Amino acid sequence: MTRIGYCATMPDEVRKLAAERGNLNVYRALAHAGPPFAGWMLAGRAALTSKVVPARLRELVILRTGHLMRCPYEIAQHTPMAEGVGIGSRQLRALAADGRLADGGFTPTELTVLEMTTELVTTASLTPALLDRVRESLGDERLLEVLMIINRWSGLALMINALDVDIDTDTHFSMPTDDPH
Amino acid sequence: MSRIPLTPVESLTPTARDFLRRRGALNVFRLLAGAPKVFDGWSAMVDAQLDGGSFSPRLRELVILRIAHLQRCAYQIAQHTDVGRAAGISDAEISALSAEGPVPGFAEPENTVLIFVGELCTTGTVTQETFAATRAVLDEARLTELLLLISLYYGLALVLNAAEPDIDDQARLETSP
Repeated sequence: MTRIGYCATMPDEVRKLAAERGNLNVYRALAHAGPPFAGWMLAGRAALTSKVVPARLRELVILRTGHLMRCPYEIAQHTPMAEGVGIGSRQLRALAADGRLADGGFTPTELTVLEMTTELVTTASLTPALLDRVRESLGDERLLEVLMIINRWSGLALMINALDVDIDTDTHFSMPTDDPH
Repeated sequence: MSRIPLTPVESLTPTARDFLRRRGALNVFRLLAGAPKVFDGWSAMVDAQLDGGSFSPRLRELVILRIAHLQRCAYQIAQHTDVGRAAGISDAEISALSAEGPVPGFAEPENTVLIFVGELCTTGTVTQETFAATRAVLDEARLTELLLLISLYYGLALVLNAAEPDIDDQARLETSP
């Protein structure tokens, strides 16, 4: 069970940001923090609305990160999103922490990005040759955005695991838009 | 040398340029500015933590330096050793934060917070006992603020360790508004 109560009274800005994203349990738990939470939500909106990294690659990286960080909540939330962008059951199995990436039928670019994700999340470092392979396939801007996805969802996994946030049963994530007003 | 090229200051967007003017022209910011579609959102989060957080600079920098050591992030260690000193962390304390195991020599509530940070960053979660001990010294607002701070620096260390930007010669993070 979630280790703290959900935030019941939110300032307007915080309430709108949580509502925009579907009032998931993780948002209602973190909303206690106020302004730092609002800032974190703004960074999330940018990460989710940028078109630089295709949604399919983003969801592959998030799910792989969620598995490696042993975060069932992230896996539960992002599995349907991954299925929605065409990631099939064989690929979902390959993304598991004990899965074999080579068995997923990923494109060479996807496989290289997932190998980078694995090395970075599990060792907190990265072989220069592997980084260079991803640079060659993605270019610098997309590589940086992939690194920022690993950054955000590995850090989020720590927050969720520390709070032991219950997986949502009656609410659904809603995708933000880049211009909500 | 950074494995991913840094954006020259003169090529930054106006919002990014303003952020670097306020927070320092750090190599990490010039690195991340190479992803302009997400940089402004990320930098707004940094501003919100530095300006809208309730932690004392000393507690904030203790947490950051501990994460930097646990993640073996030379860039964060270099930046925040100086910022931490300015926030009143002694040389002996800075040295203690690099311990492999438990960090000795801190009074409460700092000791409890550092145990929480260490356990979370090394095991990916915390036991019910560690959580309860931390909840006893931090209310819900401060506990979630601590998590957002850990999240920011833990994840950022991965980006820094992957890209390895040079440690800045002079520029240091400006933490005041």
